[in-house]
Amino acid sequence: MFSKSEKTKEEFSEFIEPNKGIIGRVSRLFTNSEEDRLDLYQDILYQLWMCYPQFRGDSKPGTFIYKVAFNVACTRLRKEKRRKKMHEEYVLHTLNSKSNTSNGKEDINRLYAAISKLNDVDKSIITLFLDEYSNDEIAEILGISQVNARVKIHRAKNQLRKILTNENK
Amino acid sequence: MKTNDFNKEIETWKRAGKHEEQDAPDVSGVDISGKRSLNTIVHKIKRNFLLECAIVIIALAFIWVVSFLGIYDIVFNIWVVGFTIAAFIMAAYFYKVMFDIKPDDFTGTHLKDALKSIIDKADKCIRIYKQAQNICGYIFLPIVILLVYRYLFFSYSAKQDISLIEYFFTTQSMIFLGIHILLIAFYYKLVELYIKSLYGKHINSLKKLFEELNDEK
Repeated sequence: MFSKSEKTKEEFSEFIEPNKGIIGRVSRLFTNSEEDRLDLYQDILYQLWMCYPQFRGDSKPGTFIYKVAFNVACTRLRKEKRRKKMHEEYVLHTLNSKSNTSNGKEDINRLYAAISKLNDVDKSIITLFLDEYSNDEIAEILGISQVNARVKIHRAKNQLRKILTNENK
Repeated sequence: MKTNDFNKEIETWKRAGKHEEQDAPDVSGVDISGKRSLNTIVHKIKRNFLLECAIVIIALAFIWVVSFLGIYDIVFNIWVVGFTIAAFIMAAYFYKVMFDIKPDDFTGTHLKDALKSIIDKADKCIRIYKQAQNICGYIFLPIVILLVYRYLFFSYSAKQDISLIEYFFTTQSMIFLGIHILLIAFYYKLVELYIKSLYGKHINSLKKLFEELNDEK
């Protein structure tokens, strides 16, 4: 196993720091409470730290971070009861309290709340799509074929559009 | 990529990303050196297995204590020894198999392979475990029940001089046999139910996610 010296820790921090928003996003979208979010954030960081030696720089750091983050988030234990409702309430609550400095905070809240209504796979796909990852990159991160990725992106977009439209009514 | 129909959302997403970066804890401030996540489905399966082992050990210890008090005879004790050894061999084997399923192994790969890896290993392990439970149950359970029945008959006939056939028609015998025949009849279903609640539902949640990824319709 890779020796995790202080120097490596420094390198790791430099590697993660510009992309920590990705971890924050995934943590927020896949959890129901602030406590859970911080827990997941730490779990993802831990797994990234464990997998960091495997990163050879073949792909973008963001791609690698998304891969690990989705694996951790999707295989994490969650209580299914009231999950979706709690999730939506949580997303709205946290963003209302933290994003009050910006203009268009309502749009952000609305978007997060809409994404939170999707299932885990669609959530992952939409996250990557909105981050402007290409179809090929999305297929690579999720491990699905490019055709499948295209179909899923199309379906997830329709689903999201439907949710957003319904909310506007 | 065609993004024109989602340009507004992409812009909103970018703005949200800036907030996330501000809100996210500083990486150097998060302790990752000794942290090991215990909140994964794999850990839950392992935890349930250990819990099951602990319950079996407590139950066996109870039988042993009762046995040492001399309530049952030597033939029963031999079967208890046999059952204990079989239970420990089974527990050791499955613990080893479970131990090989490590959540850290597949976090570096993509989601579909990660899910496939966990599902394959856990599913295979639980399927063999269920079969082993059924085989052991159907070998040991009837023998232990008959031995207890034999013990009950001897204690009853010591008080009242009756034959085995006469004892068979007593209320005590009927209740005992009735309960245990039902237990044997529904043993397969009971094993299936408890394995599903301890392990199956967790594996199924991963399977559901995997199917969502696989679905190309």
